[in-house]
Amino acid sequence: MHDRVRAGLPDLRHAGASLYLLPVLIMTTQHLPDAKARPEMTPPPGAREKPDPAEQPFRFASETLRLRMRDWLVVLVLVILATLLLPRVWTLVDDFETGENFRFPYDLSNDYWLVSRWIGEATATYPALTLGDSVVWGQYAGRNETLAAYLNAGMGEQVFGNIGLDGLHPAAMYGLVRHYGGSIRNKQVLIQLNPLWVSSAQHDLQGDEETRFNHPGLVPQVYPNLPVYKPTVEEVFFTVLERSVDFFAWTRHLRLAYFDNMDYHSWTLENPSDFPLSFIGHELPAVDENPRSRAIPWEQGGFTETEFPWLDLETSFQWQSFRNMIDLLRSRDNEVFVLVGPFNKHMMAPESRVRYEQVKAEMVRWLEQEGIPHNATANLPTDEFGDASHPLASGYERLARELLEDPAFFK
Amino acid sequence: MLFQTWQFIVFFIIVYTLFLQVKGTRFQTPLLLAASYFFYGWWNPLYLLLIVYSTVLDYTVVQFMERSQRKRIWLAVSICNNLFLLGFFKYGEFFAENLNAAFQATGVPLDVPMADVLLPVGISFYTFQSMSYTIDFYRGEIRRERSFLRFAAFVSLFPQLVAGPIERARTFLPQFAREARITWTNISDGLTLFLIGFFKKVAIADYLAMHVDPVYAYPDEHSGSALLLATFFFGWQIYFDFSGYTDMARGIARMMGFNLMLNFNRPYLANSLGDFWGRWHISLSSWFKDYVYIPLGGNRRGTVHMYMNMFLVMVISGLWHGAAWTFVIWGAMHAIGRIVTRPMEQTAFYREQVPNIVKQAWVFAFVTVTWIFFRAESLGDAWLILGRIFSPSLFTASELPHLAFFFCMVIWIYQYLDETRARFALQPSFVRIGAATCMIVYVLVFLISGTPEQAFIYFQF
Repeated sequence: MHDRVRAGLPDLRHAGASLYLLPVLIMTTQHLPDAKARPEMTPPPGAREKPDPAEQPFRFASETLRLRMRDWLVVLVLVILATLLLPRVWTLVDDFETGENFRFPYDLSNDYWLVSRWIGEATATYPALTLGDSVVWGQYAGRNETLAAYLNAGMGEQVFGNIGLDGLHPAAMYGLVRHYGGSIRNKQVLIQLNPLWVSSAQHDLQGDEETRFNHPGLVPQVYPNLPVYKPTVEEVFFTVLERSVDFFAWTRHLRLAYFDNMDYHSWTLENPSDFPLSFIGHELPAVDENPRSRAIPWEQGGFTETEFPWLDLETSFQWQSFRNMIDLLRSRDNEVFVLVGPFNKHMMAPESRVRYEQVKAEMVRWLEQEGIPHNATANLPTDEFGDASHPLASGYERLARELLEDPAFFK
Repeated sequence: MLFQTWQFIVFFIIVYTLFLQVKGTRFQTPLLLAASYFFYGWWNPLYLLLIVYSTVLDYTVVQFMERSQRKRIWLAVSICNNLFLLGFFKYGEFFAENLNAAFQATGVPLDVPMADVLLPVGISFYTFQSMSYTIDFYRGEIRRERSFLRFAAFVSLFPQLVAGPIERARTFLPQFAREARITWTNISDGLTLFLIGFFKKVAIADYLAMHVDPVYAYPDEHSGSALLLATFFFGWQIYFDFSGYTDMARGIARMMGFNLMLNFNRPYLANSLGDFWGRWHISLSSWFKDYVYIPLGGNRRGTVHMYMNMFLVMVISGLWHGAAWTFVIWGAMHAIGRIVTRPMEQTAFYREQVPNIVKQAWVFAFVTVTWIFFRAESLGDAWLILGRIFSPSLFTASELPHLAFFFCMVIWIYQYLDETRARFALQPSFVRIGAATCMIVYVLVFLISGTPEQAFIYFQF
């Protein structure tokens, strides 16, 4: 009998054993090979007649794990609940401290679940937001030396939340606002437009060859087709999944924030002696207090005069993405102010400078047409730039001062 | 196309949807065949030539066998053809290498050219399955299958095509001749088996491989304790890998109304080596028993003859797993193990006095040591690993990956309880519901992306 149980057969010791026999009887009488197939079979001489082995009971494996359909329904409900609740419960576990002049941890720039959480907190805390790439984030500036920090200092209170992110080109910015920035509604948003992103086909994601670029998870996955971006079907699938289902963005957060950008299994093997759940309660990377890059003027940093090809805005993908983002933000009842630049004209070759002014004028023309308040006059001295587009702390201070004096901005 | 990939999931959803529409009609078998050939051709369309050739030949051989008085000749044609295919594609290089080495050693001025051929996935499985048809027909145990399509679908049905279980014609072929029965029980059984298999493969086997592979790649750089640990984990890896594949295969087939045989039955709870082989890769063990061991005389011609048969079968079984001396030695070790322990196991003292857990422990230890030869890249590596394990370096500290150990122990304890009177503790529905939920959530949280897929170990056989 023990063998019978092990074999996954019903234990006939139980009362009602005949109930178990019933399906066997039914199977052996009702489900013989169909009438059409049977006459085709001719027994070879000497063939022995045996009961149809195809009709023997199915040996499952571990009977105790055998789920019935109603069990599966319960499992389905539990899994759905887990996927809905785990990311929410995790906010209680994450040690995510923000505070004054917070800027998002540089090392987690691709952690869109946490970015989304920060954007939610910032929109709840600050009346206005500064959105942009590492120029807004403050590559060459300390935590209290960014544009948002100087604007706050100038206004005497915490008005501007810094939601700038490293490498956030306009197409990625559009993706961020669209997929992870749903909480940006009814806000005042200062958007920094970095002309660098339309300075070449490569920056515009329109090069001929596949290349690595920032935030591929935020750009369109299928349409429009970007020649520089050739994700696999899996990558597209998971990117869309992360954008659509909070749970999957959260699992990516775990990988990036807790598993050193590895999958969980690799992480446990890197730390074999650690308790496998020891990642719960680990601290997130702290806010960057200091400049990320050495804060020295661009000439001392080894940069030299450069030729920028500059693209035609009509055909620029980044420019189109920027315009789409403005439309999206405005459709969510946000008041938008665009800061064009600053850009380091001192680093440009003379021909580039002329073309740059034309491009900038085109940008301004569109902003005026759309009735979008903007500032395109920022013109920092050469020693206040760390490279082609990033100001040093003194540059941010000057920029904030100029903005606060700009009636269009202050309105 | 591996079961755990999105390509397979998409493939299966399409095939299953179509299958539900055509089951019970004359399109059922053609659909299964087309799907199976597509599945197999996904690896390499050239493989299809081989499986079609093998199928046509065995189907035709049985036709001739039916009409002929000299059935034995036709059986020989089938067996020789199948063994030739296996020999050429799987063992050609091995034979050539060894022949050349022998020629060189004896000074014979000959050089056998080595054919650079691709080993077709799953060839060892479908040739054996196809052979079971011709042999069973020869023995008068089955009728000739009239429909070529049904026979071709039997040889190539995609769930079990590339890694088994190796089904028998007498149990599997009749399932093609009837309308597939798809019930809610079949579907829930199939889903459960697929989930269990998926978890075994993706969450455990692939994980253990991440620990084992680097150690076995450079055994000379690791201490005895590290090598022992890697060997211990390999024993579990290969179990989870292969039984996981089988579970998935059985689950997929079950959802389609087909029953595939149980292939693994908690092998690490075996209390003798004979018991182990009754639980490990059951479809292969029983194949060898039915088609090699018993025809050789089995245990009917005295003890010496029986041991010789046992030895031969185990060595052939070893060679079946791979074209290398390491596999031959692995098979031989099991054969010797069985021969040596069989008399002991039959004593009353062993049967009644030795606690079951002790028997299980020694069987597990023996099997684990033999895995060294199964896994090592070469004989040299295998001896090196064995030497290191039985050296003072066994006592140097090695880091134990906690999660990997946890997985192995949880499964072992679960299986152990399930075979004892404590089984009642596992029977409440919240246990199986909880287990299934945990498996799914674990996969979703930790594994749904980020890790590249690993091929199944048994594909190479």
